[in-house]
This record gives sequence, structure tokens and C-alpha cells, in this order.
Amino acid sequence: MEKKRAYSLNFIIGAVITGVMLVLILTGFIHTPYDITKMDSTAKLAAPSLEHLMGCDNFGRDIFSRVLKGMGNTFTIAVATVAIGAVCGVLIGAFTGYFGGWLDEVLMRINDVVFAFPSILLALVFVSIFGTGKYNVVAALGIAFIPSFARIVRGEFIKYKDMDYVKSARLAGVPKLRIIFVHILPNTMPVLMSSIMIGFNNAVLAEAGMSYLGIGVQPPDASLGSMLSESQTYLFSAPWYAAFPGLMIILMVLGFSLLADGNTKRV
Amino acid sequence: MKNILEVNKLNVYYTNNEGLAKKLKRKSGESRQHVLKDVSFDMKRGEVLGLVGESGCGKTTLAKAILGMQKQYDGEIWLDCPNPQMVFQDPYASLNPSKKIGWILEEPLRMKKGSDRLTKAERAKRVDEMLVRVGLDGKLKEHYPAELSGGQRQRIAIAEALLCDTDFLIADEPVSALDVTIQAQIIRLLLKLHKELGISILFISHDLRVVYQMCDRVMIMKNGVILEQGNVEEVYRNPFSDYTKLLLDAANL
Repeated sequence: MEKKRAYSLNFIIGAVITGVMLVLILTGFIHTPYDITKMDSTAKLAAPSLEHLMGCDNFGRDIFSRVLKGMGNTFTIAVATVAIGAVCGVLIGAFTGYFGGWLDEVLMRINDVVFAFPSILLALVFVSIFGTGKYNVVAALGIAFIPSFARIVRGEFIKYKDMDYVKSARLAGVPKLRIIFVHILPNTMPVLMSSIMIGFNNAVLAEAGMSYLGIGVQPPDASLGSMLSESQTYLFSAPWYAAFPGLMIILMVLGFSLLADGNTKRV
Repeated sequence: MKNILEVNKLNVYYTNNEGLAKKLKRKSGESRQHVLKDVSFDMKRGEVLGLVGESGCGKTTLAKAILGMQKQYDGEIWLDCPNPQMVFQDPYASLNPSKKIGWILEEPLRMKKGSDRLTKAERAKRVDEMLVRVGLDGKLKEHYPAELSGGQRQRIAIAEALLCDTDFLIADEPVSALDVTIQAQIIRLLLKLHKELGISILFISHDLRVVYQMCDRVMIMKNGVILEQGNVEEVYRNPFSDYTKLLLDAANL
């Protein structure tokens, strides 16, 4: 009675793009063709060639190497952001949804307030208080991402908490925490996975936006957003400088969007 | 014989759950609904008691109150069983869709603490025995609920309740979601388990024929009131209330 799962075309394309991206990111962690801070004054704004696959930036640094490294930075920030948002969101959503009552009212109203601010604005406020830097951006975006997860998980718990199988678990004497995390939580996974993937996309874009504004990853370290920001002066003299980091952002987001889309359709 | 359950002048009200603003505007008590009205009955240990009534007459509310799921009520409920169990109407909602059957059946056994604690092998053994007892193949342990039929699921639900070592079971319309041949099988299974294990069963149904097969005594309920109760034979032969007569006529008994 083994079920055969037909994967949608979206899912396959998404998986391929994401797979390639992950390989590039891993490569960036292990090895880059050039040192990302090494400047070559003879190759300032050099066009793409076999030597420099994506050309060079205004300091003569290899863009391909910097893109690899930058993708890694963007990716880790996005993953950490989603992890903070999802873990806290699941905890808040699970408890408020399952128990309800005044705790639910209070936490959900706070949630609404946080939700009302655009995540970038919230992160800007956070960064202006605690200073710039990679880890502050992660913390700021992570907090901004909690409400959307909390809301989704809460809705799922409200749906499931009065199901007959939860009632019979209660009658069997299963403790509340076990009911929440072992009996109900796995059933929220399909919905949760989709929102994690969508959240990941938003996090990539938010990180790029933050670095573009100059409050994320600090130079000389690279991130896709900061590269995009530096490249805008040379948009006409060296269009490849802007094109490749931008393309990578698009591909990362597209890959995960297609994965999320295919995933929801499958469920 | 000793009673296992005594219910004395039980009254249950439902308050419509409204937002805070509406609650403040409204005077208290206005939106209450009287669901159970002075319900009193006893149930003997080892008895199968039928509870018959139309939809919305308060049968399930009574079951919930007995199981302690309905916290607010007036009156007395005395139940001589620490872990009452329930078999639900919809077999498609009563098993956790994300867990395998074996896991679901082991769950009550995992809850045993202290000296009653069972090892993994002991749990598996008890689950296997119980599967045989409810007439199912041991291979089903590796399947998910979605792969089982309604009748199989209801047997699993019964097995799960029995694995809690209970001696009091509420069966809330356990067969109304099943087709007729499967209904008969489940009824036979419940009667067999009743004989073998001596459990007391409160059998809720709207089907008078099924109740006739299952039960020793029967209660007829309407609009939250118990109209009559007594031996099944007597009630069916000599109905006291007009409503019971109506039900019997409709069922063609």
C-alpha cells in the first residue's frame, strides 16, 4: 500500500535550482578562486573573462569569489532568522492556540503590534539601538519574523486541539506538553514547512535590503545585498557587477518559492 | 451488584462564547442554554446501558460531563473508575493521522509510570495481543490510519481504549458512521469484549435496533430530559412516553 508521490514540475525545478545554489554556497565556505579581499589594481571593473568569471569590482576584487562568499553570508543569516522566528513562533503559537484564555489574548495583541510594523522598519529600529553587524541583523529580523509563524501555528492548534484523537489522548492520561509537541505538532508540519520556505525567501530579501542600506554585513566582508549596493555607482560602466549578485538573489528566492509552491500542492 | 456510575440531578448550561464587548453589553445569564435538565440515573458494574435520543438532545454532553470534559455543571456525578474511556462516532477523526497504528496503540502503555512501567518489548506484546482480541492483523501496526477502512479504524479506537485498562467505556454512536455489515461486526466485537473483560459500557445511539442488540437497560432522552429508563424488553414492549412510541414506530420494531 506504499503511496507513490508525484512531484509537481514546480517542485522539481525548485529543487534543482536550490540544489545548485546550495552547492555554490558550500563551495564558498570551503574554497573561493580568489581571496575575497585581495585587490588587483590592474583589474578594476574588469569584464567577465575566463580568469574572472563574473568580472571584477571597483577595487579589482573577483566578483565570483565575493558572490560565493556573499551567498553564504546571506544564506546563513536567512536560515538563522527563520530558525529564530520559527522556533519562537511555534512555541508561542502552540501554547496560545492550545490553552487559549487570557494568555492567548495578551500574546496575540502583542503579536498584532509587532506584525503591524514592516519587518525592515522593525529591524532598523533594533539595529539603531543595538548597533550594526551580522548578529544584530539576525536577532532583529528573527524577532520581526516571530508573529507570522506564531499566527499560523496558533491557527493550526486551534483546529486540532478539539479533534477526537486529541481527546482520546487526554483520556489516556497523556500529559499536556506531550499532547502539544508529540500529538499535535507533527500534524501542523505541512503548513509549517510551507511558511518556513516562504519565510526563508522574505529573510533573504530582508537581509539583502538591510545590507543594501549598509546596516547588515559590514565591508570588507561580502553579502549579496551589500554588493548590490556598492555596484549601483557602476551600473552603466560595469553592469555585470550588479547583474550577478542580483541574479543570485533572484535564483535563491525563486528556487525556494517553487519548492514551497510544489510542497503545498503536494499536500 | 455495585454501581459504577451514579448521576444525580445533573444540569448543564452552555454559555454562548462571545467577545468581551458583547458580554459587557449583555446582562449575565441571558444567553445561557439549558442542555441537560435534572438528569439522574445509575449504572451497575458490568452493565451495558443504552442511551437513545435524537441529534442535539444532549447525549454527547452527558458523555462529556461523565468523562470530566465538561467542567461546569450542577448536580452530582460519581464514577467508580479512575480512567474512563470513550470510543467516538467518527473513526476518521479519532486516530492521529501522522502516527502509525502501532505507535497510537502503544501510547496508553507508555503512560504507565513507576512499577507498572513496560519495556518496549512488553508494550509490543500487549499491542499484538490486543490486535488479536479486536480481530485485526498484526501487520496493521506499520500502517497509517489513512490506509485503514472505517471498520478497521473503529476496532483500533476500541483497542486503544481497552489498552488503558479501563472498566468503563462510553461508546458515542460508534457504529453510525459505518455501513450495516460492518456495524454488526463492531457490535459483536463490543459484546464479546464486554463478556470477556466485564467492562461496563454506556452505549449512545439513535438506532433502536442496535440498542436492542447491545444493551441490558435503556434510557430515552429528549431535549435534555430522560423521558424513561428501564429494561430494554420492557421499554420496547411497553413504552411509557409518546416519544418512545414514536421512535419505536419509526424504527418498525
